[in-house]
Amino acid sequence: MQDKHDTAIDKTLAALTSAIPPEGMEARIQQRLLYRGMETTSARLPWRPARGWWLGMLTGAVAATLLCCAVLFMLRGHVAVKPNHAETAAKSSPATEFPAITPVSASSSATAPCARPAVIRQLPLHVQHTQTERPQAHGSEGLTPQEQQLVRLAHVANPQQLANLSFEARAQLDQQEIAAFQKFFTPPPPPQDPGVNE
Amino acid sequence: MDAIGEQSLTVFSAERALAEPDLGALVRDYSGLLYRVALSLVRNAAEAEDVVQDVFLRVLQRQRELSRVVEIRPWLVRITWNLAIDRTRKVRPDQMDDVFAAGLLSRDAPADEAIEDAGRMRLVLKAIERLPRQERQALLLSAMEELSNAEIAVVMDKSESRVRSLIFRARTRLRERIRD
Repeated sequence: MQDKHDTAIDKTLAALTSAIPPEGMEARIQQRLLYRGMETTSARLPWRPARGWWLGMLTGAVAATLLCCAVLFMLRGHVAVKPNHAETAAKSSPATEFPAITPVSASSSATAPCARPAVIRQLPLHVQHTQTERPQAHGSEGLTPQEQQLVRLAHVANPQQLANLSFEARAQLDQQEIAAFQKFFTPPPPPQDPGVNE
Repeated sequence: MDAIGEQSLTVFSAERALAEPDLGALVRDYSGLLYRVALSLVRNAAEAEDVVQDVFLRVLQRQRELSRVVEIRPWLVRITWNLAIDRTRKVRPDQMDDVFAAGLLSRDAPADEAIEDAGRMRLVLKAIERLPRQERQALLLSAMEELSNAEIAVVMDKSESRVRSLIFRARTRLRERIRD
């Protein structure tokens, strides 16, 4: 019985010892070693980019996009403010109109050639004349000369001149001028007695 | 433990430094032995082949140190053993005993005898699985004809007499367990 068990043990161990490797195992191992060796060699090459190269590129692209968005947002804010100014100006002076500016080519332009002949921006002639006259006519149409003078004074904003506009100050100034004027004249002599002459 | 054990086998040798061993020759010479060592533990042909491939990949990683390895065969067997132990933690060998035992059977034997042998082998394999770690290692390595007791002693980092003692105790324990 003991021999039988020993035999079983020996048979099992012998079977382990005599196990034959699968076909092509050596070739597969050699191939894997070759592949791994090439992989290791290419990993050691100095020009091989790092594994996270795409991560760096992605980060740069995202940063550039955010920067562009920020710049565009700021520019949009500036552009959005400008029409408000134009609208308020148009409301304050309804007579003022801003005609559309049409790009024209340099060849069709009647003006002198410029540095950038490709496209110039030109206003119609009647608009150009209106624009040249506008500073003089702006805000002073339909006023009397006195009113115009008042407006001019208001623009100059000299405090002394503005103070002289009030009636009290004007009356006080007139009195001072009369008093100063009277100083040039001596008071009239008293009338002489008629009996002395005779 | 594994890395330190493998390091202890790499001793500088000026004579061997002149002739660095070829990895292809190592595969050709030792893949069969390493396959059997791995198979005795993992008991699955595909897993054993994977273990052998991993062994040679380890060797490739330390190819520059190959010339300093004095005893290449015990060194390779120790790497194989450690990797196979790691592999058995992922795949339970007792689940493969039936298939493995059937694969080990001699095809020349009659059917009834083959069935009886398969039953006994299954018992032996399960009993080997339950042996203490060192006894199991000594017994299985002693089954490899290519390894002498001296080489097994190097692999296990024990004395030769200790290895003989471990083998004897393993067989005795195995016999008792099969009888029970």
